[in-house]
Amino acid sequence: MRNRLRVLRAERNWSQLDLAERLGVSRQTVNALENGRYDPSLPLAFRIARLFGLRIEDVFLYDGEGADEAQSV
Amino acid sequence: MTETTAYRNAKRRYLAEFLAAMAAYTLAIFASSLWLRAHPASGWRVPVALVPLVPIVAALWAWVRMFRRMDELYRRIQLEALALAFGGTALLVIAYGFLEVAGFPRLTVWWVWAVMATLWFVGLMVARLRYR
Repeated sequence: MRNRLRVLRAERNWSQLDLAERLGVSRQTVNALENGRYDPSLPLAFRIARLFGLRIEDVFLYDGEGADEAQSV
Repeated sequence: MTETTAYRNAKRRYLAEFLAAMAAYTLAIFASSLWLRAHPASGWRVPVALVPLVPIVAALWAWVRMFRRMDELYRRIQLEALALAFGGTALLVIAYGFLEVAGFPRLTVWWVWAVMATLWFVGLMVARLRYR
């Protein structure tokens, strides 16, 4: 799923490692999220949005059909 | 890829626990093999033969602890790898079962573990590529 993670991170001058530490996840997760290769669980999506002081819909861009592409087996 | 401190520490701890278990395993195998060769008809054969299982359980436990420290993506990667190992092993073992009926040599059960461990490793590589 497309998201604004990279932009939001850049605005604060955070590295992927910084963001990972703040979210309590691995750097690989942050990288996969930013590249749209992985969609976060609901709790993680909330934590991400709240970290940026935003709502989930302002961070993750749901486009209806095909939004599950990142995780199709 | 450089990782967070939490994850690096978790990996370090796992590696230390796993290597310690493997060292204990090596000693256990050595000792139990020697003993079994020297006492071929003892009533203690079974427990002595199973002694190396203790460090194996320790190694497995180290992995479980590591798994619990993993975040959702790492856990997903592990589970996808295990799924591939399970499915692939099932296929290969069943196939070889048929081949045995067709006259192929009987293989020891160690082969099942060898195949499973190999596919688990392959699965990890595949999963890591998918989520890079």
